[in-house]
Amino acid sequence: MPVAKIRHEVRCGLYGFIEFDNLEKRLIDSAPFQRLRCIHQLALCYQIYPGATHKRFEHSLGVMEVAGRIFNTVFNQRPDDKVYERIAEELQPERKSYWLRVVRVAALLHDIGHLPFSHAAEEALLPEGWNHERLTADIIRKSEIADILRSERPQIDPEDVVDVAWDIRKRAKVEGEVLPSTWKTLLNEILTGNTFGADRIDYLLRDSWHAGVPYGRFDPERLIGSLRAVIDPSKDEIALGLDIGGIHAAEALLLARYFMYTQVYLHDVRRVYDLHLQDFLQAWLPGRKFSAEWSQHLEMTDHEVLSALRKAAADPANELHMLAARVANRQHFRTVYELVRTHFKTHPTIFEDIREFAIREFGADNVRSDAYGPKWEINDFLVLTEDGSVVSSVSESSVVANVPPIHIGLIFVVPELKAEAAKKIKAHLDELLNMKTTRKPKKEKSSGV
Amino acid sequence: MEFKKHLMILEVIERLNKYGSWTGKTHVQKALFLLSATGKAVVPFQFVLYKHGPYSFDIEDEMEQMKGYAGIVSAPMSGYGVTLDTGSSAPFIRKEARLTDGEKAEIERVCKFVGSKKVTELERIATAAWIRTRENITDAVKVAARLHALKPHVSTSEAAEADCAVLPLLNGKKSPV
Repeated sequence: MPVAKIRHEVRCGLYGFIEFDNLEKRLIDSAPFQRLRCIHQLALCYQIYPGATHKRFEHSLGVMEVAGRIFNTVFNQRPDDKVYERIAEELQPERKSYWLRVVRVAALLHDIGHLPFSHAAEEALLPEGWNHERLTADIIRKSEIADILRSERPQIDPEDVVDVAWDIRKRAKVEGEVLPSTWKTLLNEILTGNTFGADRIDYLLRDSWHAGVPYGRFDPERLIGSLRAVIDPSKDEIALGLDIGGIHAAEALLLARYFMYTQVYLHDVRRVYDLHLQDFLQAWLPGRKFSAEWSQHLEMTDHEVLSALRKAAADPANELHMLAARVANRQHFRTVYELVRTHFKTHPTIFEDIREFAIREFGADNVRSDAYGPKWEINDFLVLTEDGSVVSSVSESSVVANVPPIHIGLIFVVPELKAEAAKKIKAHLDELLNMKTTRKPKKEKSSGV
Repeated sequence: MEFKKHLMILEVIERLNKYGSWTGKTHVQKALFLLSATGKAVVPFQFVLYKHGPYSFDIEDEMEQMKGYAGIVSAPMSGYGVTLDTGSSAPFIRKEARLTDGEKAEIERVCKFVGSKKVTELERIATAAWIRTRENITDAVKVAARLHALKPHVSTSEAAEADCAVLPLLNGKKSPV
C-alpha cells in the first residue's frame, strides 16, 4: 500500500523549491486560492513590460516561503533575555509550531481578496470602507477556507490568521481601533512590515524578475538571516529589527523599492492604463462597483473583465467601445506633463496649477491626471549593533536616511491633442516658474509594445 | 493641498522645538491629539486608537507632503529616530493659511506640556486622554484600569500617573513648566 505523501513541493524561479504540507495543499487547491491564477500581479503593467504577466498565485506561494524563513530565523534562536521573557509562552515548542503554521497560512492567503487586476483603482471600485484586505479577512472567516482551517488538528483559528495577514496599519484605517498583542504585532510585521515584510521581499524580487528590470534585486538570504526580535528602546516594546551585519542588504532593498516604484509601478503609461481600466469598469459594472460580498467577489477575475473589454473594443457599436479601445487597442491618453521634484519644492501648488490650466484649455473630458506622494520610505527601523545596543537605522546608515521620496504628478490628454497640449503646458509652466527652460526628469522607459 | 493642516503641523513643530522637545513624529502626533482632546481648537485630523496610542494617518501623510516641498525638514538624531524642524518653505505655508489667536495660544499651551516628555510617557498620557474624551470614562480608577487593559505592559499605578498628568491639560489649566 502506497504511503500517503505529507510534504509537497513546487518549483519556484526565485527560491528553488517551495515546500508545503497537507493543510497548505488543501488551501492551495481551494477555489478562492486557485482564483489567484487569474489575477495579474501587476494589473496592466504587461502592456509596458511584456514579461510582467505573473499572477497573485505564485506571489502568494513565495510570500509563504519567505514568511516561514523569517519566522524560523527570528525564533529558532533564543532571543535576548529581555525579549524572551515577554514572549516565552509563545515560544514553547507546541505554541511555536502552531504560530509557524499560522504565519505561513496567513502569508499564503494574504491576497485572496484582491479585485481583478490587483490594486488598480481599488478605492473607486469598491463600496466605501472596503478594500482587498477586508475582503481577504471575510473570505478567511466565511468561505471554505475557514472550514479547512477548523478541520485541522490542532485546529487553526481563522481569526489568528486574519490578525497576522491584515496589515495593522491598513486595518486601523478600516476598523478605527486595532490593538493586537505584542506577539501578534510581531508576526504581522513578519508578513506586512515595511522594510522586512515577506510580502515586500517577494514582490520586489518577483516583479523585477518578471518585468525584466534589474532594479528590484537585493540579497534576501542575507537580509532574512539578519532579522532579530529586539526591544524598541523608545517605546519599550518588542519589534522586528536587524542585526547590523545585514544593514547593506536592507539598504539594497530600500533602493530596490525606490527604483521599482519610479520605473515600474508608477510608470506613466501603466498609470494611465489604470485610469482607463477604471473608466471601463465603472461603466461596465452594475452600480459602477464590484460587489463587496465575498462569494460574488470570488466569481470575478481578470478573465471576465478582459473578455468584456475585448468584446467591447471589437464592436464600434458597443456603448463601451471607446473606453475599451483605450486599453485593448492602445489608444490611451498621452503624457504631456510630469511633475519635477525641484519645481514642487519651490512651487508646492504647481501640479494643481498645471492641471487646472490643462482642463481649462482642453476640456475635462480630454484631460486625465494622476498623482502619488510624496511618500518617503518608512525606513526608521531598529538595528542591533555589535555592542548589543538597539539604535535607529537612520543614524546607522546615511543611505537609509537619504532614500528619496516617491512622488509623481502626471497629466495626460487624448492622443490627438498631445503635441498642442505639450507645447501650451510647457509655455504655461515656464510662465509659472518664471524661467526660460525646464528640465525633464531622467527616466528610463520601456517603449511599450 | 490643505495648507491649514500644514500650518497647524508647522506651528506644533516650531513650539515643540521651542520647549526643548526632541520633536519626532510621535511628539507631533501626540501633541495634535492632545490639542484635539482639549476641545479648544478645531484639529482637522482623524485619530484612531492604534498600537502606541492615539494616532492619525492623515498627519503622517500631510507631513510627508510637507517634507516634499520643504515645509518641514527631518534630520537623524544621534542614537534614535529623526527630529523635525521647519523648512525653507515655511513662510509659504504661513502666507497660504492662518490660525486664530485662540488656536495659537492653545498650541502653545499643549506644546509646553508635551515638550519635555518622552515617547513612552506621551503614549500613556495620550491614551488616558483618549479614554477620557473619546470613551467618556471619567472615573480615575476606571481610566487607569482601562489604560492597563489596553496596554498590559503599563501597570495600573503608571496608568493612574499618566491620567493625573493629563487632567490639568484637559481641564484647561496652565501646565507646569
